Amino acid sequence: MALIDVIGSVGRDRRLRPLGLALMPALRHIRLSTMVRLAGRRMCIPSAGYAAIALSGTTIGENLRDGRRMFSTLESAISEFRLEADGTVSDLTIEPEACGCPVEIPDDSTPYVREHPVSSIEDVRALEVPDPAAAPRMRAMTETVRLLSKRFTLPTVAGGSGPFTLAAELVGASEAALYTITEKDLMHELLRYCTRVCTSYIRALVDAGAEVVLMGEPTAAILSPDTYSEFSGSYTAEVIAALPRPVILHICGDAGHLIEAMCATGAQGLSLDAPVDLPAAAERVPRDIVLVGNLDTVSVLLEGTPGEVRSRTLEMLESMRPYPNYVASSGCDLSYNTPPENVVAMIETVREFR
Amino acid sequence: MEGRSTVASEQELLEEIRAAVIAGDLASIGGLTSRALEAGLAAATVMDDGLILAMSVVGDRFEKKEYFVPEVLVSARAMDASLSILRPLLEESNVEPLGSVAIGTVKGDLHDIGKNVVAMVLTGAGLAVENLGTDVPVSAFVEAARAGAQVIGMSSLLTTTRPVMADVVRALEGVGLRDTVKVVIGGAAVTARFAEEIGADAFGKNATDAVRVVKRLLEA
Repeated sequence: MALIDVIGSVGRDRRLRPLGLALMPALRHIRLSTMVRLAGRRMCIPSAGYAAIALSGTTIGENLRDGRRMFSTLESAISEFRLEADGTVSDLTIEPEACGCPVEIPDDSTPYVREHPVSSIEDVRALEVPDPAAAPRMRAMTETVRLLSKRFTLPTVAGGSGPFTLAAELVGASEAALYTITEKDLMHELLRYCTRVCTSYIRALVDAGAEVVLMGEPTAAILSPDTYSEFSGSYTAEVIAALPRPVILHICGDAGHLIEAMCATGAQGLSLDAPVDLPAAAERVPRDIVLVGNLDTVSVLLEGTPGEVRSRTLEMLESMRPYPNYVASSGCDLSYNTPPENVVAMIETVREFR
Repeated sequence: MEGRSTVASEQELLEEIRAAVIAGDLASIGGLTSRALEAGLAAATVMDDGLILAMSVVGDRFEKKEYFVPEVLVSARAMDASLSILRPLLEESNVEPLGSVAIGTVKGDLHDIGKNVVAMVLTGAGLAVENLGTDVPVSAFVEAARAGAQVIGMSSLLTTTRPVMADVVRALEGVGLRDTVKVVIGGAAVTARFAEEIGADAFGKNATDAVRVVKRLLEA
């Protein structure tokens, strides 16, 4: 039995909690890359939060507004899929909402920000850093993390937004892109604010028991390497430096051009999406930084059959065989409509791969 | 001699216009456009040999990853500023665009960047583009087709909004417009397989691919 299977079965078993609690502090002191190397087989951490909601028969809105409900949803999915880490649902509208953006949470679709309230530097200066204990959905997510870490002794992965992604919700994505050239002062002022918000919220998640932070910075994919370093990477590095737990930095889409700059943030892991050539990326990443990815969430996991998922997962695993610093996963968040048998096919293929 | 120096300065002006668009130089593009018109250049020439050539350079650089979204946006803004001067003149002289496209992000999805970049690159390729915005309902796409758009472009980044694209195709069939309009889809939530499944005409992988696809469909 591989070490990760021992950690997983102990971590999911209530009766073995004292043993799990004894293990956790040791794990906390090693880098993610060391953990991954010691695992004994490839680890698999799918971003399956929305798929878990669909499976539970509850709505997205019910889960995102109620920390206890989301915990129950995730608890079932962790047991059902025998996951080796307990991750929350990724929701990048929590911070924007707490900062004053109106947010729409449909029953069966991903939530989104309806309006972007910031249009001037005065608007930025009027913003206040929300208190994670007071903002309702920050509180709900913190509650989920607290309940997860009380129930399981698995590495709890909690998600937060990256500073540029939050900034882009506050001013609008096209504006944020344009302003990196035309309104640099406004953007830097806004990003200093966003850095404070991200740090304070993620700290609250860590205080609630998060062992690993998955920082989602999808909007940064549209930036050149230099612009990324100036407007996202340097602020991300500030957030990471202020946290006592390892951070996995996720950028959606084709972030292949940003890999070196992402490594420079101090992130212990990079989570990359399907358009990135992962083995080529692995050649550019130091062995003490973990790569996470990158099965296509749409063409494979949503549209494919379980057989196709298995063969594409195997191809991915074979292509990453030379790299010890690798964790198998979907390239991005699994869609709400992903067939559960496809999630199982991916997880089982990874688990059986030697 | 005099004639030759005029030609040279016309070429120089077009060169400066191209450089201003490529650099996204909003401060000088308006003045340059007016000077080109005063120098006797036709609006259509400024459009074809200035803006369209410049935007094709921008598109190439985007494809080669020398330019990214912010650079494309500032170039597009400069192009727009010049176009706003040229447009009334182009209309007066009855210059026909290569074709007309109505483009939007479908209902339930507010992502605008990718769709805006596609709209700009299509405009830069000489097409008349109506940008319907984000969160666009089925009826607005149908209305755009009814108003004469030759191509309907739909974008989605959220897989949960994919059914809206199928609804648009069905609605176009329902009102008898499906045969007169081409439907192209794009965005991270969709694939060529999905385009085929819902009966769209094509899938555009990225902005430059979208231009190729739309031009091909208009020629067909």
